[in-house]
Amino acid sequence: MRILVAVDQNPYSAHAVRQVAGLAMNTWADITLLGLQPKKRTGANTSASISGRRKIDPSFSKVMHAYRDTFLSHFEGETSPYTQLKYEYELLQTKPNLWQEFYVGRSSRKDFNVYIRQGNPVKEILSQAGQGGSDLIALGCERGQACFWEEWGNVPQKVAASAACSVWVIKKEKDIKKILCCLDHDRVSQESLEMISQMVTLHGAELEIVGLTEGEGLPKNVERKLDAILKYYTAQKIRPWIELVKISSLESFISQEGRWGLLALWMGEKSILQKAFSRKTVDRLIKAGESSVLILR
Amino acid sequence: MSTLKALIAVKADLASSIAIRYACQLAKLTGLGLQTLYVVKPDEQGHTPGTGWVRQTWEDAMVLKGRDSIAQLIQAEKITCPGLGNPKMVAGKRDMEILHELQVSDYDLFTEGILHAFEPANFLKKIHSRLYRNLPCPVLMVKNLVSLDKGILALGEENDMQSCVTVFLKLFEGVEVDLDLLCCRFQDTGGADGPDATSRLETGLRAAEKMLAAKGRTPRASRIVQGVSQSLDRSVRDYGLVLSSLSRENIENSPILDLLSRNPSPVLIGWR
Repeated sequence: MRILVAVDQNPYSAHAVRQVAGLAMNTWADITLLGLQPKKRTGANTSASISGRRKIDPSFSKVMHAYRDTFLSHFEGETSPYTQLKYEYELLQTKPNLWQEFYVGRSSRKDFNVYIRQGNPVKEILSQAGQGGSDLIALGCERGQACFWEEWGNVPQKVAASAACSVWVIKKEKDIKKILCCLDHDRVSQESLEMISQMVTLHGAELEIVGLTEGEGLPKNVERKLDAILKYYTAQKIRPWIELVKISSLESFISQEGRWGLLALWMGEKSILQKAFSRKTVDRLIKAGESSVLILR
Repeated sequence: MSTLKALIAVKADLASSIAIRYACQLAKLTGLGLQTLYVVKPDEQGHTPGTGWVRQTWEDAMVLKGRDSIAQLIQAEKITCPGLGNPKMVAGKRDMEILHELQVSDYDLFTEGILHAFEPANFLKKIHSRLYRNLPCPVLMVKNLVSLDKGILALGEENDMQSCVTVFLKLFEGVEVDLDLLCCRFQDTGGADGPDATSRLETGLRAAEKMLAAKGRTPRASRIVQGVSQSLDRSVRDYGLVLSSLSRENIENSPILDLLSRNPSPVLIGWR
């Protein structure tokens, strides 16, 4: 799995880094930490602004170093999959009956890269995700009335709406004790099942799977998928609750049952969620809901 | 171990698969005997051709048609539930055939799966169906595959608690399992306020505890709650089984029924 963590200099981003570190401990994902440098930090009279070349803001650079250290502190020394290049002498066979000692450098088992970008944050995040082949973009925001990035506004909503991969919008300081997954089609990837499984294990959370219906019951293919999902999680010693909800009642259901820490939406091409959950609705869920939101693609 | 028998009505669907798995969990704990039953529907118009051997031949063909899908379901469940025998298969109207089987073979429990839904229409339709109105035994409606390790809740108004405990003692005789008692006073039904009302609730609860004590059992917790049924949802969540009793005469607008319809746990209903 390749995870892109998009951050700014605010506490919700620090929380997002910690949450992703927890996930990475179980998944050993390749990590890209992408910092979006605040606007207008090069200073009016610096040599950089005069020459037209932008420079990294030293204070933001320190923030990124702190995030890096926070992330890596979740992994212990030698066993960390992100330990950088390690040089040591090794005897290697070069010909039959001939060994030669080399000074060998071995890189980390998993990638951990740090980038800083400037410019439109949504554009930069999506560009980085595309270049890096990210499977998941994770970013934080404040819990409550708005899910904004200070300085740039509704970055999380725009990324969630436009990304080609899964997006995890992490609400600050909301413990994930219950996870709600909404399903209405049968194309659910193994990776997304595993991601949810990791989240459940990581947080010791309860899992509820909602089958979305348009009519009386579930379509047969969705029912079969739900059965397969139930068996998959039971084998992982996870016993999910199942509930059927009509698409027309979904928003009411979510607002009444606002006890979840994480709301996961399986939104594939065949998903009626795409139609029932318009961009406006997804925006509303991300913006106003108490729960973190995971859009699974 | 138990000599009780349960009939599980199955179809080739997820709800039945969950019901079988849950019933097997119950059987492992209590020694409950399990028998599955599959009823093949007649054709769309409800016509059955002819009489005598013609009808019999048609029925046999219908049964054969349904056999494969149910056989696959049962076979899959036998892996984790080896005591599950082969299903009985009959052709006819589902509710009538189930009722007939319950009456002739003297079962102690009827079980079927019903996926829990946010809108309770389906659940209420079942409760008000002819089948349920005529059931000769308690019914276990399996809404979710939940572990019984989460505990059992006996839920009722002041006059119901002893009925609930009777059902519990019959099914779980000699079995170690956590039981909570919850006696409710619903303001939906204009339940009286004041110390007298509270005293009656406590009397109901104490009587239930006494019944348990007579069998050497103690509830894990005993509580009284008061409010409108919708506000009591949280009190009844997260159990492995919710046990209650309903009166067939007063089933309309029953606040207990309203609470049960919104509860995602399997519910076991005894009839008063």
